[in-house]
Amino acid sequence: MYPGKYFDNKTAALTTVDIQFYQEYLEFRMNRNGVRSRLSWLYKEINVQSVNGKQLRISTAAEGGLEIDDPECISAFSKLYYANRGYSVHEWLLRLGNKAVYTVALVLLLIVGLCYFVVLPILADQVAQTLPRSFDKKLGELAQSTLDETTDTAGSKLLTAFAGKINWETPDTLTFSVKSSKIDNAYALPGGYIVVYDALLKKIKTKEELAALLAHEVSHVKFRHSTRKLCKDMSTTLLLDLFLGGMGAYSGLYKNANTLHSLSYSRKYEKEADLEGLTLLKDNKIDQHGMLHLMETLSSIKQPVNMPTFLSSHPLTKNRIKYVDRQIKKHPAPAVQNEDLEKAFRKLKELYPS
Amino acid sequence: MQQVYTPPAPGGLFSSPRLKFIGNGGTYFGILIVNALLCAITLGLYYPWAKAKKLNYLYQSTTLEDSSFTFSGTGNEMFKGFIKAIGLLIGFGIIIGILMRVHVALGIIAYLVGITLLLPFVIHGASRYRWSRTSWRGIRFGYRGDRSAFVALFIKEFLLTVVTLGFYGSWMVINLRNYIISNIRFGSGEFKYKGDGWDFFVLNIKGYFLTIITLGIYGFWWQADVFRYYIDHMTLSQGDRSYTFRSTATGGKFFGVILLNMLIIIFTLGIGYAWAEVNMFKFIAENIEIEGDVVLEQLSQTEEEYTNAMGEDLADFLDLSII
Repeated sequence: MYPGKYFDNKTAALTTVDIQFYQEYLEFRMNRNGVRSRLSWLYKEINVQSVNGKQLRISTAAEGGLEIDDPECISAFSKLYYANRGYSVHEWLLRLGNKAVYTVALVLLLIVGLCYFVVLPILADQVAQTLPRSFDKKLGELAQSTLDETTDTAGSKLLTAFAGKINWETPDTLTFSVKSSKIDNAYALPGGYIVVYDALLKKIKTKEELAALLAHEVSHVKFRHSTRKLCKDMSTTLLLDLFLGGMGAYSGLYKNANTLHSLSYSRKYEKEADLEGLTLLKDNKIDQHGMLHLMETLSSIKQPVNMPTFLSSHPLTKNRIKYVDRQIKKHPAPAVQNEDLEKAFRKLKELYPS
Repeated sequence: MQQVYTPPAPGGLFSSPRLKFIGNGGTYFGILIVNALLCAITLGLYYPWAKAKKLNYLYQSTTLEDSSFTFSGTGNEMFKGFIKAIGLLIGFGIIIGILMRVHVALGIIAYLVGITLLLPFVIHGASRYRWSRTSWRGIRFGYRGDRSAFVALFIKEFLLTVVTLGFYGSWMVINLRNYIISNIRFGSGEFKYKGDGWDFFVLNIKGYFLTIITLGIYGFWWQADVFRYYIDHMTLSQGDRSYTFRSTATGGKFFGVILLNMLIIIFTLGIGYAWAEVNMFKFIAENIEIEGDVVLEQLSQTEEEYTNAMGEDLADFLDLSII
């Protein structure tokens, strides 16, 4: 016998009743104003609602319902009722309350995390690989048309001549150009457009440094970093919209979280380009230390703000020097003095003296 | 602000039943996330069932005198409404499309008129469905409004608002509220809402200017005033006995709960949305005081069941939020 409260669907009055559970049905007795009565309901004809696992409401279409908050009664009922029915995910959520929810949340979080950190990058890379290289070319042209920069024709010609002396080991057609700007920078657009600003050319002292710089940028093109990053960013947005949008919550903030993460993603690319650049130098018998000197040159350039590693898209120079140094020691290679390259570099330097 | 004081009826008991929201953010989050997952997998077709699950939880987590409310609407009912609503909107879209081809202005006018005419039908349908599917201790709620009367009222109020360039808006809100709430039944109990457009207008004008002057800070107090105006003018009567409702929410309290919710949402990147919503429901339930001599136990069953959920679903499509 368990205590419960009965309502008869006629008025909102509650009557105290004694409930008993059997295999297939439940039965309860009551005493209303001296009138004794007894009702029994089959489990298959009742509707059960659990309120946060603490209260139970059993209702029938015709004869009213019961409110139960005695924990022993609830567990006795649940054992019998759910034994021959099983319950849905929703009922399970409601019955177990917080415990179930945290489990579900944790599992979902793990799935989302796995998707985000493992599946998505792989998938995005797969997608990027199915895209033809001509897509990169178009993307690069598009990007170039939006940039309003003046090309230094004479310098570009000399830079192209310099780059022509090196075997880049890539199927891409590469276009090298010099643009005038006060910023010390160089970049690679997808499809093989490599741009060096004249300010940076003036700071570069040796042909090895310049070769290292170009090798780094060519490696970005070779590994199609821009296209891969684009694919990943797009699929990430889709995934997040699917999960957070469907929940009813929409916060532009998750995009910022994503940006933070995609910065670290590009750092991975930078490292890849550095290491591939070293290999290119080695294969062309150019002194790999050019890469180290390039980094020293870059680090001597005063940056307006000193950003912590996790915020900057390039790995901190100290960091880079460390792994580049390690790589050179691991794969030492003889360097041959290349007169052609030296000549091409000197011509370029005449145009852009230090 | 007038306070209606109801003296205890002779022999009657003066009581103040407690309204509580006992849901917890964790469970609600679980429901929402499972819903989201199923909606994503089924490309949105699960939506009506998801909504039923969500409403079920919210209703059963709201208690009056420790007995919870029940939402007995089902996903199947709402799915039928969902299909009908989609059909209606597609038909509407096709007609607009044809008119657009005849003349662009004609299409735009037809679109605006169509949506305006659709609104009262939607509000009416949604109210009937939602209230008939709400119950407490087996006693059903119900909405007894008359469709043509409501449509006529809505159109009249809407036209007046358009003609007065929106100034009549306060009157429109209150007059519609008067009509809708006064037609809600809680078994044999009858809700009444007696608001006055002028009072509400003054409240809003004051709120509007003070909010601008205080660079938005007064907004919370304005919100508290509107909430109080909505709650305090409502009564529930059963025969000659009645309950009055009173808001205890202040601008400061609103400020607290909204700030907290904003912080939760920001710092959890939106995932804490479920907890924020639960906080809001708790806040609302805690800040409504009910007092009077109605004997809840004597409320008796009077309302019919109504299972056409088309209005409910249309309301979702038009993004109307109905309590």
